[in-house]
Amino acid sequence: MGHLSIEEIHRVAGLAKLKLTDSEAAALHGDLEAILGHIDTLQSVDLDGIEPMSSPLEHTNRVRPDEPAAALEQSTLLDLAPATEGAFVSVPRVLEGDGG
Amino acid sequence: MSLPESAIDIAAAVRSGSCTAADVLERTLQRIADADSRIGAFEDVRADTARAMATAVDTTVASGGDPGPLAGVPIAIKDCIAVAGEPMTCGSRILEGYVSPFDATAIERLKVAGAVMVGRTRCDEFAMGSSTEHCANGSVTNPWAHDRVPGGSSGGSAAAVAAGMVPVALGTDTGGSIRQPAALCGITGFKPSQGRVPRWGQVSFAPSMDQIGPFTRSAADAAAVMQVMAGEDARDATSASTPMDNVCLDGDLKGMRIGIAREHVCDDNHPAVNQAVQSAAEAARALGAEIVDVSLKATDLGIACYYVIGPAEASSNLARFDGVRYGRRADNVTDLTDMYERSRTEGFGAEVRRRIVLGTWVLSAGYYDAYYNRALKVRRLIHDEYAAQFATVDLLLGPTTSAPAFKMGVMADPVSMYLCDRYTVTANIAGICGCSIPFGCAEVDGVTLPVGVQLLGPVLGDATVLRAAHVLQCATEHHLAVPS
Repeated sequence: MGHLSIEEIHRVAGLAKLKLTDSEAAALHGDLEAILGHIDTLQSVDLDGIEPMSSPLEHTNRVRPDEPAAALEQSTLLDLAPATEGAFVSVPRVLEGDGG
Repeated sequence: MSLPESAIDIAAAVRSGSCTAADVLERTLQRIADADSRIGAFEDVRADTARAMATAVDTTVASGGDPGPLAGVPIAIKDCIAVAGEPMTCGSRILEGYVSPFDATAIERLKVAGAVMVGRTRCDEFAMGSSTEHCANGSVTNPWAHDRVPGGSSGGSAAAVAAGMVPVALGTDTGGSIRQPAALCGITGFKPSQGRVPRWGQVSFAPSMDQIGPFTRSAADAAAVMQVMAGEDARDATSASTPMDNVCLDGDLKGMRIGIAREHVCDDNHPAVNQAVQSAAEAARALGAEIVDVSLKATDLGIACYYVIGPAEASSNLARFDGVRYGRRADNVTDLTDMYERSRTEGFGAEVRRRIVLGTWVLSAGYYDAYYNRALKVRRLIHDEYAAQFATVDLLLGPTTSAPAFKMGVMADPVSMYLCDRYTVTANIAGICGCSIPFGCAEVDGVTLPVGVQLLGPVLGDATVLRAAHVLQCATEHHLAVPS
C-alpha cells in the first residue's frame, strides 16, 4: 500500500511553497515511496517508555547578556534584497485596492 | 629550499621567518592552476584577497608580532560557510549573486589565527548528497580516478586536499559529509562533537546535527585547526561551553579500550574495507590498545531515523529562502504566492525539493507522531546505545563507508545514495565525534582507490579521537598515500 498520493504530494509541496508539474510530482512520488518504504523499519521498533530526543545536546534555553552590540548596517542588508523601495524590502502587492 | 607541506610545518616555518606566507600561497595558487581543471574542486579562487591576507601575515612576522598559530596556512572553504565579502551559493541557484556580509565564527577564528582563505569549494546543494554530483555549479571528480565521485557533500574540499592543492579545507558534516568524502579521497576528515564548533555563519541544514570540521592530510593538522575553531560562542546558543582539551601529540595507546561493532564488519562491505578495519585494529593493538568486540544494534536504524529528522529540520530551515530578503527572486511574478513558489521551485534542485516535501510531510498533521516523533524516540535509542558503549570503551573503530569511491552517475536512485552514509549518520544523530583516516587501498576495475576507517568518540571526546588517530598515523604510512 502506498504512503501518499500524487494529490497529497501537490498539497504538501504547496505547504512548502513549491509548485511541481505533474511529471515532477509523479517522479517525486516514486522516490518518496521508496524512501518511506525504508523508513518503515522504524514502525516495528518497540518504543514504549522512550522519550523523544530533539537534540543530543543537554543544555537548553541558554541566554546571553541583554546588552546592545554592533549589528549589520541597514544599507548592507538592503543591498542583499532582490527589490527595495527606500528603506524597505519590497514584494508584490498583498492587499487589494490602493492600500492607503 | 623546498617549502613545507603540512599545516603545522607551514605555520612553524612562517612564524620563524624561514619561509613567507606569500611563497606558500603562490605555490598553492600554482597547484590549483595545474590540477583543478581536471577536478573542479573550486567554485572560486580569490587570489587577490588571499595575497592580501598572506602579506598581512608576513608583515606581522617582519615587525616582530605574533601572526597566530596557523600563520600562512592556505585553507579552502566549503561553499556553505560565510566569509565576509565573498559570494556563497551552497551549490544552489537560489543563492545566485549572494555575497555574505559577515564571517562565520569558524572563519573569524581562523583569520585571527593567521590562516589564508584561498577560495570556495563545491558541494552538493545545501550539503544534501554523498557524491558532489548535485551542485548547481558543476560536479567534482575524485583525484584518484577522474570517472569516480569524491564523495559528498563536501566533495570539493576533500578533493582539494587529496590532490595536494591545499593542506587544509573546511567541510560540514550533517550525516557524514566530511568523513565519507575523506574516506573516498584518502585523507583525514574530522567531524567534531555537536556544539564543539559554533554554527554561526554555517548555513543551517539540520541544526541538531550540523557541524563544521577540517579535511587535512594528517590528524595532527586536523587537531591544530580544531584548537583554533573550537569553543563557545554567544551567537550560537547550542555551542558547547566546555572547552576542548589540548590534543596531546605523543605517546601510544596503552590502557585504551577500543570497541569494534560486529554488525559493521560484515559481508555487505567491500573486502578491502573489512581488511582496513582489521589492519587498524592490529596497529592499535600493537600500540598497546585493548580491542574488544561490541554490538551496536540500534545503528541499523540510523538511515531510517536520519531521513525523517534531517528532512524535517531542512524543510523548516530552508523556509528562509523565499526570494524576499536575499537570494534569487523569480522574474515577472503575478502575486506574492507566485513569487514564493516560483523563486523556490526554480531555485532549488531536485534533491533539495525532495527533502523539503518529505520533511514537510513527516511534520504535517496526522503524520507527526507516526514519523517525526517516532524518529526522535529512535534517536534516543541510538544515543543511549552509544552512551552505554562509551561507559566501557574509550573509542569505537569501524568502517567509514561500505565501499570505495563509486563511478559518477551510477547512484541514480535516492535510497542507494542515502545508504552510502549508513556508518556515518549515527554519529550526527547521537552528537558524538568521529574521525575518518585512510587505512589502505582497494583494487577496483584495475584502479587503486583509498579506503577509510573511522574512530568514534563520546560527546566532547574530540581530543581523545584526534590523539588516537594521530598515534595510529605515526605508526603507519596509509595517510601519506597520494593519487598518482
